[in-house]
Amino acid sequence: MNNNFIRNDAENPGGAEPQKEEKSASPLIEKIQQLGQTNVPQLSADSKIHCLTIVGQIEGHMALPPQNKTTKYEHIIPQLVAIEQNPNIEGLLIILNTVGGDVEAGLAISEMLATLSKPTVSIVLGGGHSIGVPIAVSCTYSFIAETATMTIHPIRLTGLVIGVPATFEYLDKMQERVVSFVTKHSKIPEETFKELMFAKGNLTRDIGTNVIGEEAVKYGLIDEVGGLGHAMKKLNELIELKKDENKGLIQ
Amino acid sequence: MILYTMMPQELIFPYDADAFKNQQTISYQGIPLLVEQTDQQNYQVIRVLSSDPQHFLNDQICPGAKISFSNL
Repeated sequence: MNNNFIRNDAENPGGAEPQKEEKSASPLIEKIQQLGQTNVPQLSADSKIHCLTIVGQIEGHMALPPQNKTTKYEHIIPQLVAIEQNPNIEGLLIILNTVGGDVEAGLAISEMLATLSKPTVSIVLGGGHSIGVPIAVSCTYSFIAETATMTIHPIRLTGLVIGVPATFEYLDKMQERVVSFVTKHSKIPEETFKELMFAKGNLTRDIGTNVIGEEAVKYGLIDEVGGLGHAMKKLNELIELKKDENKGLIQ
Repeated sequence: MILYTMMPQELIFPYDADAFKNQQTISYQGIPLLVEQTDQQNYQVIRVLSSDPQHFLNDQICPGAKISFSNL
């Protein structure tokens, strides 16, 4: 404590301290008025773990009306590229609370995450529905909050249907891509996943299944039930593991 | 509130496109932000689009904070 105080003083010589006190009072009040909260303590400038929040709808080819909360594909992809390139970033945490969205945008994000050379951990909080499922499983390790849910259901198309057989075939192929991605990146067998996808009676007047927390782990879709603390611990473990691997390679 | 109606949601809650007209994405000190122009001189931060968790602790750009045009 004492040490810090002295260092602070040394940085602001000439009695700048009392002035700073006065100034900081008004922004603080402003902050409380703006958000109803004060600022959290600052850590060191560089963070070796970055965090991507995937919330609302996943927006791809179509720009959604502005009142929708969206995660934009063109925001996420360059960030992933930057994270891959930045040597100071050692791990990535993905926070998911999404209702689904564009299949191709979702699959693109999933593929980018799956091929990222740095350790990635995902947490599903609240909901990780539809295309959120491949994103959740694409990470090195996945967590789901106890109360979080994931809806698994067949893919649908909103738009012009030209030929019914052709459209059906197209949808089937698209669905196959999602199924194969999920089964490849998680422990769920293809039969189980398809069973959940086409199950009747679970969702009101629709086919599919809503898996909650523990259930998702039971089916092998998600690795573990847990929250932020668990996820950070796991991510740090994975980072250490990767460091050890790299050391081994040099020797 | 639970609605039981055959009216489409857009008819009950028409959205106001003008409310979102002033929103734009800017880069402030290298941090991508979604902002809204509040008046002639200021932007108000709506969303921080960065992946660096430290940027979310920066009180200059926390959602609700005002950024003056002169600082851009």
